[in-house]
Amino acid sequence: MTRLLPIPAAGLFLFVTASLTQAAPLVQKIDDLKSLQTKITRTVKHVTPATISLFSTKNGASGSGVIVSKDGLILTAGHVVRGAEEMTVIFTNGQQARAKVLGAHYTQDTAMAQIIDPAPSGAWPYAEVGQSKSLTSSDLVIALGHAGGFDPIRTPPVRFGRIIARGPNQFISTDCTLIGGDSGGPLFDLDGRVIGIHSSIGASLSSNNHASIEGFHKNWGKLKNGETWGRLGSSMLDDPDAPVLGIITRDSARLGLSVRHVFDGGPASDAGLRAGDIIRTINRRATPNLRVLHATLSRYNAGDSIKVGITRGKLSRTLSVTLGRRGDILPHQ
Amino acid sequence: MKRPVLIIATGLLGLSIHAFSQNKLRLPDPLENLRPSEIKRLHTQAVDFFRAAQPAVATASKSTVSIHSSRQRVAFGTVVTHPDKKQPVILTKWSEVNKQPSRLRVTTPMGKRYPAQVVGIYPDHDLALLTIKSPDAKLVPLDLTASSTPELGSFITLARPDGHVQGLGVVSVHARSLREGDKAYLGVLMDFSPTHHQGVPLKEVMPNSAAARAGLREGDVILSLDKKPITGAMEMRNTLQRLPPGSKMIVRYRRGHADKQTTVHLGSRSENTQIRAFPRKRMQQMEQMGTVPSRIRTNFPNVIQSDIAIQGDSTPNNPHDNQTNDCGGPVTDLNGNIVGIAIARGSRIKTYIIPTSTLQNLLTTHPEPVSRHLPHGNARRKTSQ
Repeated sequence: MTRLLPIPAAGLFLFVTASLTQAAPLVQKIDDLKSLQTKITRTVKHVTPATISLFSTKNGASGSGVIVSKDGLILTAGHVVRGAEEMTVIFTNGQQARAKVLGAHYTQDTAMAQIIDPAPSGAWPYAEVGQSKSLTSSDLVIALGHAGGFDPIRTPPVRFGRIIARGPNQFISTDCTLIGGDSGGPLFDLDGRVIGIHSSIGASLSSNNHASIEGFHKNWGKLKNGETWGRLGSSMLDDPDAPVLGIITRDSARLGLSVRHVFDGGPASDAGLRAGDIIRTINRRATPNLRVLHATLSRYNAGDSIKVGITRGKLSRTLSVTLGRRGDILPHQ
Repeated sequence: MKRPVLIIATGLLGLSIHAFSQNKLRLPDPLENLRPSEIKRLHTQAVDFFRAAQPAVATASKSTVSIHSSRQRVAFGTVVTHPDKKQPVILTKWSEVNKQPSRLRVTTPMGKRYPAQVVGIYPDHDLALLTIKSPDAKLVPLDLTASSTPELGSFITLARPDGHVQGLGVVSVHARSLREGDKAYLGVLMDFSPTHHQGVPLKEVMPNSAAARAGLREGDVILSLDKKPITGAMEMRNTLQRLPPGSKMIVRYRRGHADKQTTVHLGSRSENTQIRAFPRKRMQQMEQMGTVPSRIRTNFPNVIQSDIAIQGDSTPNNPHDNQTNDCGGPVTDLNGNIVGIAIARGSRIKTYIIPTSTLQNLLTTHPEPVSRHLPHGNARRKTSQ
């Protein structure tokens, strides 16, 4: 008799795993839709106050973000914080607060910021952080974000959809349609846990890409400690007019930023910058890391001339670089 | 969610452009990378959703018609009653039927086709009122008193005359005016740089603006609006834009070392603030990715926003691809109550719906005569394609 026990147990276990991969609730009757609707509306009510707009007066960048702790930790997209050291947080009720940009992993388009003002009620509204490891196509999701920029007479538009596919670099795609201004905004599971951050769009309505929360989990400490690394792809949601040098940098070197690659025919290449050079200053301002470099560049426009202080081996030199347009160096298709 | 038949069409055909074009970061269209079983699952799921929603449109479908011009469906229409007219009338999207308003045909839910006449226009809402002269058309007016104002995230459906669901989505944003003129205007340029102090310094005061009339000057620091302390320019802008034009507001401000107070009579906002989230051209490009926005899609006095993906099929070589033809039909909640009429595809993320309450009010007023609103020849429509 006792030998029979493991069999039903194993059977039960198999059933459980099977239902996990089929995470999307089966919808066949209108009552199924109604119970799903109850869940969605409840979640939307709960997470809307945590969905914020991020705005930088310095570089004019505007995007979205989501608060994930009561002390005001914000998850957003790498390309939303690029060039900014401090940003203005705008809440759905129209109030504002200041936030300090922490770290960013550009390759995965993930970034963090921290609200530095004290919360008026002692705690900021926030959403729980979830998991994206087991997400599979057809799982149901909710997207919020300040599409088109913050609009005081409107709450961030709600979009409902499914996971379509998983991509490289921890990206996931859904058919929750996104547009400019949504960048950095949250993708939620049906229980309102953050499972992704809006990153880019493609040509079809099924091509909306989000940095998955897994990418955040893997680099949580680094992002929170203010490290900035990796390289941004060319995203439709990104600003093509941003000023660029036309280089790829390595992670911060001790004395400055080490140049890994110089794009042929780009501004840096025209000025004589080479791979292996270490960028130490821009117009005499030290550039110890990528965040400061971007913040410095964002003070200028494409076409402006800047002085780049470098070391090449034992030599120190200053090169004059005419900044290019991001859209010309990394063209959109 | 898109109508299932469209999912197949767009999912498997000719979509290769993608924002991620860089070497390692290239992310092809997500549907390209799926296994056939996954594509089938997504398709089956969409079919299930649309089928499950079908009871919601059962009643509304009986009051939904198709409107044809030159043998093509150009819109749907919603049958309602109007106190001016003895017969039931049809509401539809004016800018989609104005090309040849004298040669419109209406197909009823029974599948019969009749010539129709435009008898009036509500230009602010881009709505036209149509009638069918034939007494045997047997139009069934929609009961607009069975109306609904669903919560954010609620499912809503767009009905088809054949009893099926044409669109399924959620309520994205509650009803609001899209008109700039409906927002209050103070007439100042604010200092947007984040400050550590309370208050918002004014960089400029527009001549003849509400602010100037109330005596505000460049350099004044706004401390509070109607006794509500203001911490920054965004907050001040947001407070102002939520007020209707014509409102009175008590403004406390600092000039030099003196704290002062004045009452402002707010004007109407004639133009957007200097802050634009995105360069307009790029935003317009994005609006059309994966969809075909309606030609008339802004300035509605009151609309609900939804993510219902109406039309916008990007199938190559499809002659019907280039047009918006899903507007004008009734939108319901899951209980079949009427949410409103779909009036425009706004962009890839949104469809606008005129709420039932607005329609009810509108139908108590006289529409404007057609003659005043005919486009000058047909050139306008052709050049806009």
